[in-house]
Amino acid sequence: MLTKLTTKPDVVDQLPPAPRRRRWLVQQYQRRERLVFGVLMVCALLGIWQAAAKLGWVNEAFTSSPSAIWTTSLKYFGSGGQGWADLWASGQEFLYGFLISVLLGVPVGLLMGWYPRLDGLLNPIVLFLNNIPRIAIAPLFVIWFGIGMQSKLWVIVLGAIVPIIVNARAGVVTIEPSLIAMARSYGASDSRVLRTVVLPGSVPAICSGLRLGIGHALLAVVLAEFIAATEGLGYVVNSAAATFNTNVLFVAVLVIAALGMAVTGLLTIVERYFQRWRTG
Amino acid sequence: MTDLTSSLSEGPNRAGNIGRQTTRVSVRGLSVGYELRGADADFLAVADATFDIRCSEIVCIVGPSGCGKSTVLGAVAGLVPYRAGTIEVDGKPIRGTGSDRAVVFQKASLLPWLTVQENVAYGLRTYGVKKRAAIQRAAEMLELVGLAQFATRYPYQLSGGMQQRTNLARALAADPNILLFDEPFASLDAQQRELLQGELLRIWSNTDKAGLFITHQIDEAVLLGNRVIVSTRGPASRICNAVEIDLPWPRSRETRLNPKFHNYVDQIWQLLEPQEA
Repeated sequence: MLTKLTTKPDVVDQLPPAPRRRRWLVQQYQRRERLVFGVLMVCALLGIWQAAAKLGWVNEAFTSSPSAIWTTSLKYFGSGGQGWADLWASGQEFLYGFLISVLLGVPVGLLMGWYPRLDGLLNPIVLFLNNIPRIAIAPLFVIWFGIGMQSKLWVIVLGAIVPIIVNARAGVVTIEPSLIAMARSYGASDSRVLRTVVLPGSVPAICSGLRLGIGHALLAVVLAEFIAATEGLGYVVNSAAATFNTNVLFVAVLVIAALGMAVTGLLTIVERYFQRWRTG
Repeated sequence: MTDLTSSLSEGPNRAGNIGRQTTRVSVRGLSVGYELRGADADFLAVADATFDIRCSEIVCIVGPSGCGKSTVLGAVAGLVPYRAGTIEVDGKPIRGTGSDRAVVFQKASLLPWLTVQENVAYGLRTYGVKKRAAIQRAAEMLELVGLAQFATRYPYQLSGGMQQRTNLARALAADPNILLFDEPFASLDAQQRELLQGELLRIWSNTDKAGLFITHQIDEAVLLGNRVIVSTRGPASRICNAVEIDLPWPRSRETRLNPKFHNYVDQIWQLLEPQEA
């Protein structure tokens, strides 16, 4: 049996009525659902914390509370407070240490990926640095360089440079070989292959190295200031803990976290610019 | 690279300067071996390959996977060092890669961070051509392969067929005397493949370039080739037969309807068959 498929013209004309335009608020919500969920979670946690501290479920002297942290931070960053000086000290250490790590780590990693012999030479050092708890040799730098900026920079570089090197190297090694063959087929020199194929191709890997490096560098800033410092956010954490001042401790921790998020956010912008050719 | 305006668009008479019978590529007794890691003996991929390619000709090499087809192409391109024999291009032995040869790769091998246009200009830029002239030439080649309106897109925005057109345009832009095709249409779907074969035939009708085309598809070899070289399975694969394809030029998709076309496909199939077992 053959059934003839026909569409009656009157059916075609009767399209379902256009859906009523949703209310503006609903649209906004649907567009930002993830953000709304995140904010809800944070608010809920802060609320529970505040309630627990104020209703006496926990001892506020140990746990602090959101409201206490808020007033403490206003005082800390207000006139007469040490906040900006500490942030400046730690920020400076972080910035210089991270910059040195990038300027050294990226070229070293790229060259290790490109020249197998250099890779062979440096691999033991990178392996060693990657596998020891770096906290263990930090005090050594204090012995060598004193408690000034220099020893802190070394601790930070030691922390941040390893993931940067490892990722830059991996970026080169995993470049699609057919792209290099293509460049070679036009007689491209080593330096042209490096400049036009290897370097741009390694950008995504370099960026993930930098991302990891930021975390490691921040950790190292705090660590260096734990060991020997007279100011800075790590120093504040350490001395606040020694005096059971949990309010100040939390403020310093939050500022450190904010610093890390700010730098990571900047990196994301740079990353987006360099990777506009990527899918998705 | 001063002669940027040459070739492709000027019609068949240009071939007259050199003469259709002039040998462009001459391969004599070519052997290519690889050192195998952990093995004492070398792996001989290709043994004693001998063939010529004249102006305006396309010579196809067909053979089973692993028969060293691509190795021969790599050697002619100057990308793979060879053990014995000679490879001459326009009467001169080759030394490494050269601007007289360009490869159309199996994978499109486009640099993902360059636009289509910049990718097509890449070879020229590597030869030291100024940016404006190279982009100008790239635009002409994109016109030729029908991608003019995609010049400023990035490769990920193109379909597989369009990527291979870009790959072809890049090789054409470098204006080589010899074009080396390394199974360029193998990864395309059947329809795209036929379209691109047609494009290639159209472009080729106007050129004095010589082409070496590697493929595992017998019908593709018969359609495109003046001669089809049938290669045996490796290691130490040899060129066992060369079949002259006496089908009229210019060819197109309709050439497949020619009864002789099927005879050639059948003939080559039989040359390959004993090894398939």
